[in-house]
Amino acid sequence: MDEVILRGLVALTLLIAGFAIFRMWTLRHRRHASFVAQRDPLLERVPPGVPAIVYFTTPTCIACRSAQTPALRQLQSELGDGIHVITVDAVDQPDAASRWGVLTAPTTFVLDPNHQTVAINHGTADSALLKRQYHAAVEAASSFRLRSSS
Amino acid sequence: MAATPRQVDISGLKVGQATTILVLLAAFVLSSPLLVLLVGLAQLFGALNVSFAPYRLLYVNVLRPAGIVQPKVVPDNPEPHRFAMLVGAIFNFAATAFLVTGLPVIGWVLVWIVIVLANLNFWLNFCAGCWMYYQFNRLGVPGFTQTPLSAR
Repeated sequence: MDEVILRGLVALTLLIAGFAIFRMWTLRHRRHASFVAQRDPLLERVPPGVPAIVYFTTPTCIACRSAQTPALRQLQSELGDGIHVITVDAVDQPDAASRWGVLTAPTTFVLDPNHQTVAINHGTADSALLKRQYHAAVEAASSFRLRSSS
Repeated sequence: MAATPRQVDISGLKVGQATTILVLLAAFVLSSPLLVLLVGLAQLFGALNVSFAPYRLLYVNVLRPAGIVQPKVVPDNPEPHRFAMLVGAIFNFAATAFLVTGLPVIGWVLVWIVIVLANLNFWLNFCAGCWMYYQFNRLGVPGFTQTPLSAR
Protein backbone atom coordinates (compact mmCIF):
# COMPACT_ATOMS: atom_id res chain seq x y z
CA MET A 1 0.00 0.00 0.00
CA ASP A 2 2.85 2.33 0.89
CA GLU A 3 4.39 1.68 -2.51
CA VAL A 4 1.12 2.53 -4.27
CA ILE A 5 0.95 5.85 -2.40
CA LEU A 6 4.59 6.55 -3.21
CA ARG A 7 4.08 5.80 -6.91
CA GLY A 8 0.92 7.88 -6.88
CA LEU A 9 2.89 10.78 -5.45
CA VAL A 10 5.61 10.30 -8.08
CA ALA A 11 2.97 10.30 -10.84
CA LEU A 12 1.31 13.38 -9.36
CA THR A 13 4.66 15.15 -9.09
CA LEU A 14 5.51 14.33 -12.70
CA LEU A 15 2.11 15.53 -13.88
CA ILE A 16 2.37 18.76 -11.91
CA ALA A 17 5.93 19.26 -13.17
CA GLY A 18 4.74 18.65 -16.74
CA PHE A 19 1.89 21.10 -16.31
CA ALA A 20 4.22 23.69 -14.75
CA ILE A 21 6.72 23.32 -17.59
CA PHE A 22 3.90 23.69 -20.09
CA ARG A 23 2.57 26.82 -18.33
CA MET A 24 6.05 28.35 -18.13
CA TRP A 25 6.66 27.60 -21.79
CA THR A 26 3.27 29.14 -22.70
CA LEU A 27 3.98 32.33 -20.70
CA ARG A 28 7.44 32.61 -22.17
CA HIS A 29 6.05 32.10 -25.66
CA ARG A 30 3.46 34.84 -25.03
CA ARG A 31 6.12 37.26 -23.80
CA HIS A 32 8.31 36.41 -26.78
CA ALA A 33 5.39 36.92 -29.20
CA SER A 34 4.60 40.29 -27.57
CA PHE A 35 8.22 41.33 -28.00
CA VAL A 36 8.27 40.22 -31.65
CA ALA A 37 4.93 41.94 -32.37
CA GLN A 38 6.30 45.35 -31.41
CA ARG A 39 8.54 45.49 -34.47
CA ASP A 40 7.47 42.67 -36.78
CA PRO A 41 6.91 43.59 -40.46
CA LEU A 42 3.81 41.39 -40.49
CA LEU A 43 2.01 43.99 -38.38
CA GLU A 44 3.03 47.02 -40.42
CA ARG A 45 -0.41 47.37 -42.00
CA VAL A 46 -2.39 46.98 -38.78
CA PRO A 47 -4.05 50.32 -37.94
CA PRO A 48 -2.93 51.70 -34.57
CA GLY A 49 -5.13 50.76 -31.63
CA VAL A 50 -6.80 47.83 -33.39
CA PRO A 51 -6.56 44.28 -31.95
CA ALA A 52 -5.08 41.76 -34.35
CA ILE A 53 -4.91 38.02 -34.90
CA VAL A 54 -1.81 36.58 -36.56
CA TYR A 55 -2.87 33.30 -38.15
CA PHE A 56 -0.23 30.79 -39.30
CA THR A 57 -1.34 28.20 -41.82
CA THR A 58 0.23 25.85 -44.40
CA PRO A 59 -0.99 24.64 -47.81
CA THR A 60 -1.34 21.07 -46.48
CA CYS A 61 -3.19 21.98 -43.28
CA ILE A 62 -6.65 20.42 -43.52
CA ALA A 63 -7.87 21.83 -40.20
CA CYS A 64 -6.92 25.32 -41.40
CA ARG A 65 -9.13 25.08 -44.46
CA SER A 66 -12.02 23.20 -42.90
CA ALA A 67 -12.20 24.92 -39.50
CA GLN A 68 -9.75 27.73 -38.72
CA THR A 69 -10.21 29.91 -41.79
CA PRO A 70 -14.05 29.75 -41.59
CA ALA A 71 -13.89 30.58 -37.85
CA LEU A 72 -11.74 33.63 -38.53
CA ARG A 73 -14.01 34.71 -41.40
CA GLN A 74 -17.01 34.47 -39.09
CA LEU A 75 -15.21 36.51 -36.41
CA GLN A 76 -14.21 39.16 -38.92
CA SER A 77 -17.74 39.39 -40.30
CA GLU A 78 -19.06 39.94 -36.76
CA LEU A 79 -16.43 42.44 -35.67
CA GLY A 80 -15.73 44.21 -38.96
CA ASP A 81 -12.97 46.79 -38.58
CA GLY A 82 -12.71 45.97 -34.88
CA ILE A 83 -10.20 43.23 -35.62
CA HIS A 84 -7.37 42.85 -38.11
CA VAL A 85 -6.52 39.30 -39.24
CA ILE A 86 -3.12 38.63 -40.76
CA THR A 87 -2.83 35.27 -42.51
CA VAL A 88 0.70 33.91 -42.88
CA ASP A 89 1.67 30.86 -44.93
CA ALA A 90 4.37 29.25 -42.79
CA VAL A 91 5.78 27.42 -45.82
CA ASP A 92 6.07 30.62 -47.84
CA GLN A 93 7.42 32.58 -44.88
CA PRO A 94 9.44 30.16 -42.73
CA ASP A 95 11.36 33.07 -41.17
CA ALA A 96 8.12 34.55 -39.85
CA ALA A 97 7.07 31.17 -38.43
CA SER A 98 10.47 30.87 -36.76
CA ARG A 99 10.35 34.43 -35.34
CA TRP A 100 6.95 33.77 -33.78
CA GLY A 101 7.91 30.29 -32.53
CA VAL A 102 5.22 28.44 -34.49
CA LEU A 103 5.26 24.65 -34.01
CA THR A 104 2.04 23.56 -35.66
CA ALA A 105 -0.64 24.76 -38.09
CA PRO A 106 -3.02 26.29 -37.42
CA THR A 107 -1.59 28.59 -34.77
CA THR A 108 -3.30 31.87 -33.91
CA PHE A 109 -1.85 34.74 -31.87
CA VAL A 110 -4.43 37.12 -30.41
CA LEU A 111 -2.98 40.60 -29.87
CA ASP A 112 -4.48 43.50 -27.96
CA PRO A 113 -4.54 47.05 -29.41
CA ASN A 114 -1.02 47.60 -28.01
CA HIS A 115 0.13 44.41 -29.77
CA GLN A 116 0.65 42.54 -26.53
CA THR A 117 -0.14 38.84 -26.97
CA VAL A 118 -3.12 37.83 -24.83
CA ALA A 119 -3.53 34.28 -26.15
CA ILE A 120 -1.84 31.70 -28.35
CA ASN A 121 -3.92 28.86 -29.77
CA HIS A 122 -1.96 25.78 -30.87
CA GLY A 123 -4.41 23.94 -33.10
CA THR A 124 -7.90 24.97 -34.12
CA ALA A 125 -9.66 27.71 -32.16
CA ASP A 126 -13.38 28.14 -32.89
CA SER A 127 -14.97 31.54 -33.37
CA ALA A 128 -16.51 31.55 -29.86
CA LEU A 129 -13.08 31.06 -28.25
CA LEU A 130 -11.50 33.69 -30.50
CA LYS A 131 -14.30 36.11 -29.62
CA ARG A 132 -13.72 35.57 -25.88
CA GLN A 133 -10.00 36.15 -26.40
CA TYR A 134 -10.74 39.26 -28.46
CA HIS A 135 -12.88 40.72 -25.66
CA ALA A 136 -10.16 39.83 -23.13
CA ALA A 137 -7.66 41.65 -25.35
CA VAL A 138 -9.85 44.76 -25.56
CA GLU A 139 -10.53 44.74 -21.80
CA ALA A 140 -6.85 44.23 -20.98
CA ALA A 141 -5.90 47.20 -23.13
CA SER A 142 -8.60 49.49 -21.68
CA SER A 143 -7.72 48.61 -18.06
CA PHE A 144 -4.06 49.26 -18.90
CA ARG A 145 -5.05 52.71 -20.27
CA LEU A 146 -7.07 53.44 -17.11
CA ARG A 147 -4.16 52.46 -14.87
CA SER A 148 -1.77 54.57 -16.95
CA SER A 149 -4.00 57.66 -16.86
CA SER A 150 -4.77 57.49 -13.09
CA MET B 1 -18.01 6.99 -59.31
CA ALA B 2 -16.91 9.61 -56.83
CA ALA B 3 -14.18 8.62 -54.39
CA THR B 4 -15.22 8.22 -50.77
CA PRO B 5 -14.13 11.31 -48.85
CA ARG B 6 -11.26 10.57 -46.47
CA GLN B 7 -12.36 11.50 -42.98
CA VAL B 8 -11.33 11.08 -39.37
CA ASP B 9 -13.47 11.44 -36.26
CA ILE B 10 -11.25 13.55 -34.01
CA SER B 11 -13.43 12.80 -30.97
CA GLY B 12 -12.79 9.07 -31.35
CA LEU B 13 -9.06 9.72 -31.42
CA LYS B 14 -9.28 11.98 -28.35
CA VAL B 15 -11.12 9.24 -26.45
CA GLY B 16 -8.29 6.84 -27.26
CA GLN B 17 -5.64 9.35 -26.15
CA ALA B 18 -7.44 10.17 -22.89
CA THR B 19 -7.98 6.48 -22.10
CA THR B 20 -4.34 5.72 -22.86
CA ILE B 21 -3.19 8.48 -20.48
CA LEU B 22 -5.49 7.43 -17.64
CA VAL B 23 -4.84 3.69 -17.88
CA LEU B 24 -1.06 4.13 -18.19
CA LEU B 25 -1.08 6.42 -15.12
CA ALA B 26 -3.05 3.73 -13.26
CA ALA B 27 -0.54 1.14 -14.50
CA PHE B 28 2.34 3.20 -13.10
CA VAL B 29 0.66 3.81 -9.74
CA LEU B 30 -0.34 0.16 -9.35
CA SER B 31 2.95 -1.07 -10.85
CA SER B 32 0.99 -3.22 -13.27
CA PRO B 33 2.67 -4.47 -16.45
CA LEU B 34 -0.66 -6.11 -17.29
CA LEU B 35 -2.34 -2.71 -17.71
CA VAL B 36 0.53 -1.55 -19.93
CA LEU B 37 0.08 -4.69 -22.03
CA LEU B 38 -3.68 -4.08 -22.26
CA VAL B 39 -3.13 -0.50 -23.48
CA GLY B 40 -0.63 -1.83 -26.04
CA LEU B 41 -3.21 -4.36 -27.26
CA ALA B 42 -5.94 -1.70 -27.42
CA GLN B 43 -3.63 0.50 -29.49
CA LEU B 44 -2.65 -2.42 -31.74
CA PHE B 45 -6.31 -3.28 -32.41
CA GLY B 46 -6.97 0.40 -33.09
CA ALA B 47 -4.04 0.51 -35.52
CA LEU B 48 -5.38 -2.59 -37.29
CA ASN B 49 -8.81 -0.89 -37.45
CA VAL B 50 -10.67 -4.01 -36.27
CA SER B 51 -14.31 -3.73 -35.25
CA PHE B 52 -13.62 -4.98 -31.70
CA ALA B 53 -10.89 -2.41 -30.92
CA PRO B 54 -11.55 -1.45 -27.26
CA TYR B 55 -11.21 2.32 -27.77
CA ARG B 56 -13.65 2.18 -30.67
CA LEU B 57 -16.14 0.10 -28.63
CA LEU B 58 -15.88 2.57 -25.72
CA TYR B 59 -16.47 5.54 -28.02
CA VAL B 60 -19.11 4.07 -30.34
CA ASN B 61 -21.11 2.07 -27.79
CA VAL B 62 -20.78 4.10 -24.59
CA LEU B 63 -19.52 7.68 -24.80
CA ARG B 64 -21.12 8.79 -28.08
CA PRO B 65 -24.62 7.33 -27.45
CA ALA B 66 -24.56 8.81 -23.93
CA GLY B 67 -23.81 12.22 -25.41
CA ILE B 68 -20.67 12.54 -23.28
CA VAL B 69 -18.57 13.04 -26.42
CA GLN B 70 -19.88 14.59 -29.65
CA PRO B 71 -18.53 13.36 -32.99
CA LYS B 72 -16.19 15.76 -34.79
CA VAL B 73 -15.53 14.43 -38.28
CA VAL B 74 -12.91 16.27 -40.34
CA PRO B 75 -11.27 15.57 -43.71
CA ASP B 76 -7.98 13.78 -43.03
CA ASN B 77 -6.06 10.58 -43.76
CA PRO B 78 -6.74 7.87 -41.16
CA GLU B 79 -3.48 6.01 -41.89
CA PRO B 80 -1.10 8.39 -40.05
CA HIS B 81 -3.31 8.24 -36.94
CA ARG B 82 -3.34 4.44 -37.11
CA PHE B 83 0.43 4.45 -37.52
CA ALA B 84 0.67 6.66 -34.42
CA MET B 85 -1.34 4.06 -32.49
CA LEU B 86 0.97 1.34 -33.77
CA VAL B 87 4.01 3.29 -32.53
CA GLY B 88 2.33 3.64 -29.13
CA ALA B 89 1.57 -0.09 -29.10
CA ILE B 90 5.22 -0.95 -29.88
CA PHE B 91 6.40 1.31 -27.05
CA ASN B 92 3.95 -0.31 -24.64
CA PHE B 93 4.87 -3.86 -25.71
CA ALA B 94 8.56 -3.03 -25.28
CA ALA B 95 7.78 -1.47 -21.90
CA THR B 96 5.90 -4.60 -20.84
CA ALA B 97 8.85 -6.76 -21.88
CA PHE B 98 11.27 -4.63 -19.84
CA LEU B 99 8.93 -4.60 -16.84
CA VAL B 100 8.52 -8.37 -16.69
CA THR B 101 12.19 -9.09 -17.31
CA GLY B 102 13.46 -7.08 -14.37
CA LEU B 103 14.30 -3.76 -16.06
CA PRO B 104 11.52 -1.59 -14.60
CA VAL B 105 13.29 1.76 -15.02
CA ILE B 106 13.52 1.40 -18.81
CA GLY B 107 9.96 0.04 -18.90
CA TRP B 108 8.47 2.96 -16.99
CA VAL B 109 10.50 5.50 -18.99
CA LEU B 110 8.92 4.09 -22.16
CA VAL B 111 5.48 4.25 -20.55
CA TRP B 112 6.02 7.90 -19.58
CA ILE B 113 7.16 8.70 -23.13
CA VAL B 114 3.79 7.37 -24.35
CA ILE B 115 1.99 9.40 -21.65
CA VAL B 116 3.81 12.59 -22.70
CA LEU B 117 3.16 12.03 -26.42
CA ALA B 118 -0.50 11.21 -25.78
CA ASN B 119 -0.79 14.44 -23.77
CA LEU B 120 0.82 16.44 -26.58
CA ASN B 121 -1.71 14.99 -28.98
CA PHE B 122 -4.67 15.45 -26.63
CA TRP B 123 -3.95 19.03 -25.54
CA LEU B 124 -1.89 20.53 -28.38
CA ASN B 125 -3.06 18.41 -31.34
CA PHE B 126 0.54 17.49 -32.10
CA CYS B 127 0.53 13.89 -33.36
CA ALA B 128 4.15 12.70 -33.29
CA GLY B 129 3.28 9.42 -35.03
CA CYS B 130 1.49 11.31 -37.84
CA TRP B 131 4.52 13.57 -38.22
CA MET B 132 6.75 10.45 -38.49
CA TYR B 133 4.37 8.93 -41.06
CA TYR B 134 4.53 11.98 -43.34
CA GLN B 135 8.32 12.15 -43.00
CA PHE B 136 8.53 8.49 -44.10
CA ASN B 137 6.18 9.34 -46.98
CA ARG B 138 8.45 12.21 -48.07
CA LEU B 139 11.46 9.89 -47.91
CA GLY B 140 9.66 7.35 -50.11
CA VAL B 141 9.61 4.55 -47.53
CA PRO B 142 7.40 1.72 -48.93
CA GLY B 143 3.99 1.45 -47.28
CA PHE B 144 3.75 5.11 -46.33
CA THR B 145 1.63 6.00 -49.33
CA GLN B 146 -0.62 8.80 -48.10
CA THR B 147 0.39 12.40 -48.65
CA PRO B 148 -1.27 15.31 -46.84
CA LEU B 149 -4.67 15.71 -48.54
CA SER B 150 -4.27 19.12 -50.12
CA ALA B 151 -0.80 18.30 -51.47
CA ARG B 152 -2.36 16.10 -54.17
